[in-house]
Amino acid sequence: MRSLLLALALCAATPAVAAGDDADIVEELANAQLPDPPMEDPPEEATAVARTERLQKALRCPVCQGLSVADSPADAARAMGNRIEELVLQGYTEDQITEYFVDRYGAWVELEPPKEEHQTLFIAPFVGLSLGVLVLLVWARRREDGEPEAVPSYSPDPALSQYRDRILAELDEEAL
Amino acid sequence: MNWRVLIAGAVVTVPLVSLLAAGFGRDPKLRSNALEGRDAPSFSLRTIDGEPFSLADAKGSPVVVNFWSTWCQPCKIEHPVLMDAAEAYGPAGVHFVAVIYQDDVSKVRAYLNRAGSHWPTLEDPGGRTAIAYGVAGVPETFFIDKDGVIVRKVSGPVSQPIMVTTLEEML
Repeated sequence: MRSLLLALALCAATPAVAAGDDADIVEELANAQLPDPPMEDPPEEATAVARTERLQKALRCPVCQGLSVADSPADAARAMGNRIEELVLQGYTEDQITEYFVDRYGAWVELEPPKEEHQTLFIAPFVGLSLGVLVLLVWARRREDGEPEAVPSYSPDPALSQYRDRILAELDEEAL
Repeated sequence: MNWRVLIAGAVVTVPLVSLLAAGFGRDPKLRSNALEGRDAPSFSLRTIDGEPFSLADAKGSPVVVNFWSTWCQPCKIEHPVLMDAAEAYGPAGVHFVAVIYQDDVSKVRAYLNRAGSHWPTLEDPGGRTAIAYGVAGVPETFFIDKDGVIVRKVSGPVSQPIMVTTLEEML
C-alpha cells in the first residue's frame, strides 16, 4: 500500500522521471538522503493535504526573500513543495520533515524560529520596555518629591550701581 | 553638561547602534553551511547521456559536486575554473560531478557542446538532490573528502585559489 501511494505521489510530483520508466531510480531517489524511516503510516488524503499546506506555509523558499514555499512562484520553491508532499505521503511527521529541511538549510529555513530555542529574543523587547517605563516612573516620582530647584538670587554689584543709575536716568529722559 | 542625560542617551543609543551595525555588517544572503563536516547525502542519478552515477561508487576518492544551470551567469564564469581543475586533478583521482539545477537538459547539452566538460553532468528530477544538499542558489560547490564527508561548501563561483587550496588539502 505504501509503495503504491509512493508511486502515485512520485507520478504527480515528477512526471518527467516517471515517464522515463526508471522505476529503480525513482524508488532510490524517493528514499535517498533520508536518515530515518517514516514514524507513521501514510496518512489519509485530507490529513496529508492539511499537513502539506501547513509545512509549505511554515518553511521558507530557499531562493526568495521572506517568502514561504507556499507563497513563492519560484521553481526551487515548487520543487521543495513537491518534496514536502512526497515525504508527507510516505508517513513522515511534520517534525521529521521540518528537521530534515533544518538539517540541510539551517534554522533559517523556518519562517518562524521555534520560540523555545530563542526565548531571550522574544522576551527581550518586553523586558526593555518594562525597564524603560520603570526608569521613567522613578524619575517622575523623584521630580515630584524633590525640592524645587533653587533659582540663583541676583545681588547687584555695588561698584556698578553708578552706571546703572545713569542708564536708568537716560532712559527716563528719552521716555519724556 | 548634564551627565545623567548623557548616560541615559548612551544607554539607549549604544545598544541600538551596535544592533544595526551587526545587522548591516553581514550579507543577509549568507547562511550557515549546515552540512559542512557531515556525511555527504547519498544520491544515484543519471547523466544527461543516460548513464547511471552513484556517489557511493566514488567513495575512497575526493569528489567535487557542483550545482549549476545555464541561466546562471556566475556558473559560466566558474566553468573555466572547473575545467582547469578537472584537467589538473582528475588524473590524481579527484572526481568532478555537475548536477543540473532547475534547467532544461537541451540547453545544458548545447552549452556543454560549446564550453566543454571533463565530468559527468547529472539530471536531478524534482530537485531532490539539490534539496538534500540544502542548495539555495547556484552555483554551489561541495568538496567531499575520501571518507565521504563534506569538508567545504562554496556558495557562488569558486575561485581558482580556493579550488586549488581545497583540493590540495583533500588529497
